[in-house]
Amino acid sequence: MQADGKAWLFAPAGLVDGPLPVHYEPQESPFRNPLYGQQRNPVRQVTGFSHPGNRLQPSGGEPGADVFPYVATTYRLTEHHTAGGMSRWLPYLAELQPEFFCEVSPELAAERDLEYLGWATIVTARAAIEARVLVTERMVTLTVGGRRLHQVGLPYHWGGNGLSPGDSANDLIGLSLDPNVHIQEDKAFACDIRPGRRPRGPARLDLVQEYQRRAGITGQTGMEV
Amino acid sequence: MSTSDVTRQGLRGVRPGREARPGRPARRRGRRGEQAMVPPAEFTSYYGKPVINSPVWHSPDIPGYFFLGGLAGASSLLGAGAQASGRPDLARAAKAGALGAISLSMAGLTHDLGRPARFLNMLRVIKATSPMSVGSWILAGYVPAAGVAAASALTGRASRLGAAATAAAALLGPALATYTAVLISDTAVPAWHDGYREMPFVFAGSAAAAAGGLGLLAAPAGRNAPARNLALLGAAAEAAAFERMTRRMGMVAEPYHAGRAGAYVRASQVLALLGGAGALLGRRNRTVAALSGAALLGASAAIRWGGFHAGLASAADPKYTVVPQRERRDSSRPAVAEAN
Amino acid sequence: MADPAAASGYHDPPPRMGFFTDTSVCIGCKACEVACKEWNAVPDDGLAFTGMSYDNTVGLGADTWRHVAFIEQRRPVPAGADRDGKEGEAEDGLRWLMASDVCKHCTNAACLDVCPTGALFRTEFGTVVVQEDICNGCGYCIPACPYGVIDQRKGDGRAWKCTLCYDRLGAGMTPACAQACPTESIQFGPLDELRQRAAARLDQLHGEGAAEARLYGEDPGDGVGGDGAFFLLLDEPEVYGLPPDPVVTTRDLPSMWRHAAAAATGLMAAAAAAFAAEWLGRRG
Repeated sequence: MQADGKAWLFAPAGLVDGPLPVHYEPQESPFRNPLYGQQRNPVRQVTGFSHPGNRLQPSGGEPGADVFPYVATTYRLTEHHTAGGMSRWLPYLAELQPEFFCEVSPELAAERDLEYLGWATIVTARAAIEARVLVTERMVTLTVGGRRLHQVGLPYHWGGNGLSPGDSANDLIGLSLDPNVHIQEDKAFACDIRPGRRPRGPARLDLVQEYQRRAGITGQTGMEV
Repeated sequence: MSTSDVTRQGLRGVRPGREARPGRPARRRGRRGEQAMVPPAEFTSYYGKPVINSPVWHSPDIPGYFFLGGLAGASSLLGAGAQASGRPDLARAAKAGALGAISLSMAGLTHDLGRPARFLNMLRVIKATSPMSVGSWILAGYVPAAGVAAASALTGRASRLGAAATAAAALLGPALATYTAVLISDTAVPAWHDGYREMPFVFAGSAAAAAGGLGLLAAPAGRNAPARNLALLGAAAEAAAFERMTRRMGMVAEPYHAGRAGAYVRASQVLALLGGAGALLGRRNRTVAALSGAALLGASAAIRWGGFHAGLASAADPKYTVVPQRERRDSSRPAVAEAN
Repeated sequence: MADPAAASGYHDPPPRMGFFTDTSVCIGCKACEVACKEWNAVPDDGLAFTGMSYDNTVGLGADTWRHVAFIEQRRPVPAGADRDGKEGEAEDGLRWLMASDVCKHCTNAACLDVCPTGALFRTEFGTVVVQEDICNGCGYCIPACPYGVIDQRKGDGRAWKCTLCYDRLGAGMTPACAQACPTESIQFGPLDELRQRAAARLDQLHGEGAAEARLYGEDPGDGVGGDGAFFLLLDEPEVYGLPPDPVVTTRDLPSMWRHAAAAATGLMAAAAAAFAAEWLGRRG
């Protein structure tokens, strides 16, 4: 919203990445930007957050992008409140959505051998988390650029404490911030999903590092303008 | 996903996937327009969950009560007849057996309550629409009568009072033995409710067989013919009624022949056969008579447990509730069923 | 519709109150479940992930008095017109049915009929309530209910169910679930008025092409005499876990007593015969 109380389509001032909205792919995308040669937002804030705990994944046609072939998104459930710290302790809310779960389509479940009501481990270059599996036709397999693209749905209300503890979806997300409001991309990122519970202790980090190696991830991956 | 063109004429080519509204479907599942009278091969349920709630009554308390209550009621009849026909041994055995059985019953019934201390709340009202209320009052009359009758018979004292109590227990006995059939039939449990016409005869027959069995077991061989007669009549009646009941119920009778319930029912039938044969053929032999009596008691108990578990199984599987009701609904409104 | 309050002996009772739950506008928020539990201090019902779509509550019971059901269905839906203006063929779409279930407060309530202590009673509003200081947990009401509503509370022993917020009605307030419902899917009011509203809503839906919309529990001629809490459903009742043709078990009770009387008479006759046969045998 601009000073006159209206939203402007052409904003000559006030936007770091204005004046017109254009399409960029997210920081981590299985696809090349179909509209421009510029894959991602060139003024996103990313170099300042380079850290071993915040490795970014290759995108588009880059080598190693296929190590994370699915896209994940996070969303809220009606029953819980924001990050869940306020609702996981209340029996009346915790019992309505008692465990962290991921939503996958029947096709993805078949492709990755995920068992309905079983466990799945979702992995990015940052973390590996585990979730119960809810197979549903509401998760639609997209067809993008002639290719079948599966989505993994992740509610973001869980953490390690409360009546209903669970892994945190936010652990998967890399810090690549919008230049105007400095919010990370937690609605669209690439991941892998595999059946079974995640490893505990040091083995958990080993799993993440194994993925990083397979994707050829270094401190420079994803940092280009 | 939606792809659409925005044109001057409005939205074109909108794929309605995201705005799916209830509409007239091209086809429906389980179509039976032409087959209104044929039971649907498939049925729908909510994730296979039961429709009704299962009884929270426990074994051995409740099937035990059905068995012991029936045994007690029919034993009071046997005891009264034995007293009237001058068979003090049989009379004593039957009356003591009745008291013992009903005492155990009361313990089981009280134990099974969610709030046993509030047992006497059963006597707050008299409700003809509640078989349990009716039964509570039957018990309220029967238990003291059976107690006095047995006490008098065992101590040899107060014979006039004992005789009156014996008569009272004998009058209430048949009610005690049959009201429990009404009790379980008067629920939404398919395997119980759908058998309501024959269930009292199954219970009465079972009770008679049990009382006769107790007489064969406990009384000396020479003069236990009435016990044998009652046992044979009871076993035959029970078998006939059970067969008719399960035939009439159609698919709802499945739980009586499957799983745990089926095992109990089969055991009951085998024991009844053995007990009846032994009672008939081995009438001179005390040991055979006693074994037959025990087998008949076992048969009576087994059918109660079988019936109990059949009910639980029929409540737990939604198909026993949904399929018969769907059939009934569709057959009474075939025009509506076809139109849909 | 019969007035169960008057039939139960109340002199000049207030109008019969109930619920009309229009499931076509339910958004599955479960505010009704939470509001009910908060007002009535109902314990939680266990923390178990069921995978039954978004329903982790499973069903009504002693510790759940409002239950929101979720059903995902693949349905053919009419496609819009294509570029040339031709009507498309029906395609497969997905619809997500949501419905808030509750005690039906039946006109002929089986739970009420079978209660041997008088704990269950009919209120002046025509609703059915359990008096928890009288209930001794005999459990008879539980299998009697054709809808599977009332149940025994673990660790407590007594039977519990929706009271239609009897305490709130007495104060002229709206039941907690209806108060909380953000879409007015749960409507509360005099039953006659609710039935009129329901009929109008049904007409509206049918006019829009929603042929599968139907009222459930509204018909006073049904097996329980009509429900004090009735519903508008978008599919067959069994899809939602509801019985297709519920009948109050009491309807068959007079016949049951007659059959029992015949069996009891038969038992007496059999006992008499058992002695007479032996007597005859000895005489002969």
